[in-house]
Amino acid sequence: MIVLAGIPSEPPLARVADELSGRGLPFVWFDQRRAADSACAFRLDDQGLHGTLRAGDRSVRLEDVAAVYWRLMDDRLLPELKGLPADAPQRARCRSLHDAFMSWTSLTPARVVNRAAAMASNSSKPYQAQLIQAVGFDVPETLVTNDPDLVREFVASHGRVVYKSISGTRSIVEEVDDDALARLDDVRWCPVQFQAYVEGVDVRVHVVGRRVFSTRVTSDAADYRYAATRGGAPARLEPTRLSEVVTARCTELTARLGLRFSGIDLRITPDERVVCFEVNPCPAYTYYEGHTGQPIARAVADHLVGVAD
Amino acid sequence: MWLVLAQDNDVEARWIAAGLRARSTRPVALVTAAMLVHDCRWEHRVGAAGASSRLVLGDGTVLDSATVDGVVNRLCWLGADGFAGASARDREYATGELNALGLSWLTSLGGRVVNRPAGNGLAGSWRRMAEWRGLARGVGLPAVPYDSDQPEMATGGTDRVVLVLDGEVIEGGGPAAPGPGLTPADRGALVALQRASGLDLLDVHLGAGERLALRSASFLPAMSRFGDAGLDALQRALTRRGAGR
Repeated sequence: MIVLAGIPSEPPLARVADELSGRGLPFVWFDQRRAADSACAFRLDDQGLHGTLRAGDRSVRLEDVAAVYWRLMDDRLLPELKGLPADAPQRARCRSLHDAFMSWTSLTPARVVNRAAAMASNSSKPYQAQLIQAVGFDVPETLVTNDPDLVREFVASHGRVVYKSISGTRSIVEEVDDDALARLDDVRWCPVQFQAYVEGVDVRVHVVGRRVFSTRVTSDAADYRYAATRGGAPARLEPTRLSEVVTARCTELTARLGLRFSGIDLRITPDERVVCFEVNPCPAYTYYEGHTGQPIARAVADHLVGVAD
Repeated sequence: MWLVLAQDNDVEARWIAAGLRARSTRPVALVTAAMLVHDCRWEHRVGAAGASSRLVLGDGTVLDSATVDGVVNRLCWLGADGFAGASARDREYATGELNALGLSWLTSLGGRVVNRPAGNGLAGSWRRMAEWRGLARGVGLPAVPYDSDQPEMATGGTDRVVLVLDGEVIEGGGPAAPGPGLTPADRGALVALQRASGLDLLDVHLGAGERLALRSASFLPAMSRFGDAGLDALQRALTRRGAGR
């Protein structure tokens, strides 16, 4: 049995569900939108780890679960809880349900894509950069500071510089321009991450187990994800192949981070250096799959059932 | 220089810093979360030359990654609660940013840190009770049963608390109630738990029933329970780290 957890209509989950359905493979939803009709209870004792996941009128024994693919949204923000006070019993029950489910995913021997502890490396970009460096990738020259003078020196030294969030919070990558320099004193309030701009071509690499899908992204924007919405030409995505060395490094990085599925952001410089920006442990791969036709959902489904690794 | 990093109200950290000062001629700085958030000039770099940092605290103390020899890390989070003029949303964002910076900074100090950070915890991997008990069972240390319907249920009798630091098991954390002593196998399993946890230092609460069994564990041990034995072990651990540089 396979468990899919999150919002069933969310494209990455829906695509994997389609793949599993197409093969007639059994799976059950942990549907966050139906948290009120769901339950998760387990016990860890001398008989091992055992329990039950109930979704509506369907129950599965947790010890029969062989794999989990989860993309949970913050349960505090579920529409079903909107308007309820922080101490509402429905909120407490929902939290407790999610806590039990997440505790179980951390203990089960099932294939979990991905375990929460492994995903946590993405909570800090410069932290993750140190782990990325350890497998041999270059990382951008980075300064995190709350001192405007250090930023000015960094800009003077590197020329083009971008800034972005330090944490895993999604932010739009922006270049340090005259406007940004004019309000540089604001960094005194809270440290900001600055990086030397890296010239080159973006490549998004999805690693599923040992399978690798590489997408070349062509865009003029500092952050190609927002190229079209910020008035530029939309990014162009196409499948590409990386060298065996870089491919092997991507799978090694994924494994070292304890991940089964990752989205790795690379930039290939004009002099063929490979700079790694970050590893997304919960990639919204359907954007890339939709543009390139790469069978990423199929690979995730394969991985969940334990084939093609 | 040795650092003791801690939350603002961590009285154990003050006790540890005082004890280390009494045992060493090195400077020992107690650095709290508030000092790092509200009164610190940050310079943290990552790049081709590796990772480095230079922090200047409000009192002028410089914490340079090149001169820090050892760190006792009890820092759990860096929060922006004190940014009273900011919106709740901005405070939440800033808290994430500060923790991300703290995580990278602590990681850059590498093996000098007693309880190195992990992605899910500044002072080491944060675990739920179920995870501690699962980890214990995985290394052969008996653990009391866990029931997700009663996650914080106290099972069993009087606790025995032991400290495990760098492969050394230190007893004396009371309470004084009689109970079975630690066998060599128990000690081996406790050391295995410490290593499997990725922590250098933890305290383990054992239920004192017919056999010792883990009830819980923590990366924030109440060191004062262990008196001089705990401080002496900590001093040795820090000295080893400085010597290994």
